[in-house]
Amino acid sequence: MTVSPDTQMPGHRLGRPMLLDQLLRHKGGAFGLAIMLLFIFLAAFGRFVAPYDPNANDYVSLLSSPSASHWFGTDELGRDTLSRVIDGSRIAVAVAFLSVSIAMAVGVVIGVVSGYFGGYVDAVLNRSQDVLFAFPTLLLAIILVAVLGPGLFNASLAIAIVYSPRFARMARASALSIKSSEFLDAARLAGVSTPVILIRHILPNVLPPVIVLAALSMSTAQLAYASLSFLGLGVSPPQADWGSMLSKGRDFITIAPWLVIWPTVALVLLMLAFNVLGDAIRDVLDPNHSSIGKNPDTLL
Amino acid sequence: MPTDGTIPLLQVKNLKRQFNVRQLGSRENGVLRAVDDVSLHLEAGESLGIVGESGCGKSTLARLIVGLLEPTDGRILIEGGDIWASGAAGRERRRKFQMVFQNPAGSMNPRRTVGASVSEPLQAKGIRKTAEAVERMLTLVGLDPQMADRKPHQLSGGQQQRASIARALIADPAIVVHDESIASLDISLQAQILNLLLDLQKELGTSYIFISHDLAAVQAISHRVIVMYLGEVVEASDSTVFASRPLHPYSQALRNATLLPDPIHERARGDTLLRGDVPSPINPPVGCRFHTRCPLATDQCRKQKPSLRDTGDGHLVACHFAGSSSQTQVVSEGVA
Repeated sequence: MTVSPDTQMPGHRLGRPMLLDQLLRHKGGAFGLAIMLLFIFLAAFGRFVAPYDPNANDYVSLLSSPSASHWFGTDELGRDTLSRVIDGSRIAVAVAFLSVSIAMAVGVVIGVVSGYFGGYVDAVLNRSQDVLFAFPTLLLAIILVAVLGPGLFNASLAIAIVYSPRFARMARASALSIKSSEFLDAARLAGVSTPVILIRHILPNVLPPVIVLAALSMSTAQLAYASLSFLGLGVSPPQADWGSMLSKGRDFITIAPWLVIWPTVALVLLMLAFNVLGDAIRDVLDPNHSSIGKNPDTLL
Repeated sequence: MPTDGTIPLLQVKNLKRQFNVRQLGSRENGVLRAVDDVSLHLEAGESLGIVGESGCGKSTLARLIVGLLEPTDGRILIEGGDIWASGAAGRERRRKFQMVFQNPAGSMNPRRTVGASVSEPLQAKGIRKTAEAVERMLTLVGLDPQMADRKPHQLSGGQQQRASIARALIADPAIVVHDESIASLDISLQAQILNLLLDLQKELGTSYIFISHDLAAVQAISHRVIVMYLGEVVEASDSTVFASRPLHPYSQALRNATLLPDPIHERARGDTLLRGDVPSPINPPVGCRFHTRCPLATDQCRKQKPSLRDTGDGHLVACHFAGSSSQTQVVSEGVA
C-alpha cells in the first residue's frame, strides 16, 4: 500500500501551547487571571503592602471618612479599612481554594466511581449525594458549621461538603458517557487494566468540565463563606474578614458607608475574576476547538 | 467444519446472549435474545462476513466474540481454548482479538495523541519501547509516521480509520473484528480501506470478521458469509457460492436490495423486495422467525422452526423449502 492522498494534511500547527499561554491570549482569561493573581499576591504579601497593621487602633480618627492618610477610611475602633480589606483577602482566597479543592477531590472520586461501576455502588453513592443536594446550600453549611464549630478550616470543610455533590454529578455524567465510548472498548480490548483505564482515559476526559465548574464554584464558595462569616460563623475576631467586616459595618451604614462599600467591592471583584476565569478555561479546554474567541455557548 | 480434523482458529458454539428489558406497562421484564444459538468457525488467514439488517444482533455478536460482553450461554474457543476460562489463560486468549469500530472519530481518546492510542495494546502487554513499532505500523497502513504526534481531531475520517486499523494490528492479534468499520466512510475511501485490509491480511496472516449490512462489500472481501436474522443464523456459505446462489429467501431479498450499476438491468430485474420491519426480538415470531415477511411462507413455517441444514458443500440454510431439490441432510450441530 502506497501513501494515499488522504495522508496529506494542510499545514496544521503541531501540538498545543500550554494552557496558561492560551489563557493569557484569551481576553477574559487574562483579566480573570490578573485579578486573581492580584488577590493571591495581597493574600501572601499583604502585610508588607498594607499601610497599617490591620488590627491597630487609631483612637484619634474613629470612623473617619476616606482621606489621604486612610484611603478607605477607618472603622469604629479606628482600624484602617484598606489594611483590613487587604488582610481579609487572605481568608477569602484560602477559603475559596481550600473548600473547592476538597469538594472537587471528593466529588470527582465519588462521581467517577459511581458512573463507571454503576449498579449498587452507583445507587448508594448517588442517593447519598441526592440527600445532600436536597438541602438549601447555605442552610446546610450553617448546620455543618454549628456541628463542627466555627473557624477557617471548619467553614471550608462545611462548604466543601455542601459543594461536593455538584462535582460528583458532573463527574458521574461524564464518566457515564465515556464509559460506553468506543475508545474505552478499544482500551479494554487492548488489555488495559481497570485502574489504568480510570486514570488514563476516564479522568482526563472528566476533568475539563470539572475544572470549569471548580473555577465557577470558587466564586460562590467564597460568597458562601462571606455569608457564614457575616453570621459570625467564620474566623474569630479581631482577624479581618470581609464577611464580618460587612456585618460590623452594617451598624454604621448611614454614617460610614465606606465600611460596607470596600469589602463588598473586594468580594465582587474576586467573584468576577473567578467567574471570568472559569468561562475562559472552558473556552480553552475543549479538545476539538483549539482556536479561541469562539462563542462560548457553543462550546462544551 | 474442517474435514482433516485440525482445530479451527476460532470456534463459536451455540452462543446465546440475552438482555433483560423493562417493558412499559408490564410488570414482567422482557427477555431480548440478541444472539440466539449462533455457531460459526473461522480459519487462520480467512475472512468471515456477517450480514444482516440493523437489530439482527450482529453487533452484539461482534462484542461477544471479542470478549467485551459475556455470553449468557455457549462457548467461544480460540485455538481450542475457551476465552472465558478463569485466570490468566482466559485473559491471554481474549487478547488475541482486536476490533475496529464503526465511528472512527470516537474510537480514539480525544485527549491523547494518535501515537499513544496506537501503542496502547503494546503497552498493555508491558512493552515499553513502542515508538519504532508505531512508526512501522503507521507506515504500513499508509499514514505519515509524523501523524503519531497529532490528536485524533487533527486527522481526517479516513486517516482516523487507518490509525484505528494500525492500533488493532499492532499487537499481532489472531482475529480482528470489523464492526461496520467502513460504513461511515465515503465510497472511494471504503474501497481504499478494504484494499488496505486485504493487503495487510496477505502480509500479516490475520483473520478478519466483517460485520456489515452491506452485502456487496462483505462478499467481495470474505471467504465465507453468514446471514443473520433476529439473532439467528439463517444461511452460511462460501462467499462465491453465496454470490451466485443465495438460498434463503431473506438472503435473496438482501441481495435484491443491492442496486445494480446498470439501470436497464436494475429495472428489468423485477425482484421482490422485503416489506415491513424486523419483528421485535423480545417476542420473536414462533416457527420460522422470518415467516412474517417471507414470500414463500406456509403453515409449516408458522408452526415448525427450520433447523440449519447442509444443502451440499457446507452451504447451510435454515429454511424448509430453500434448495429442496438438492441434498436435505439435517445438520444438528449448527454451523460449527
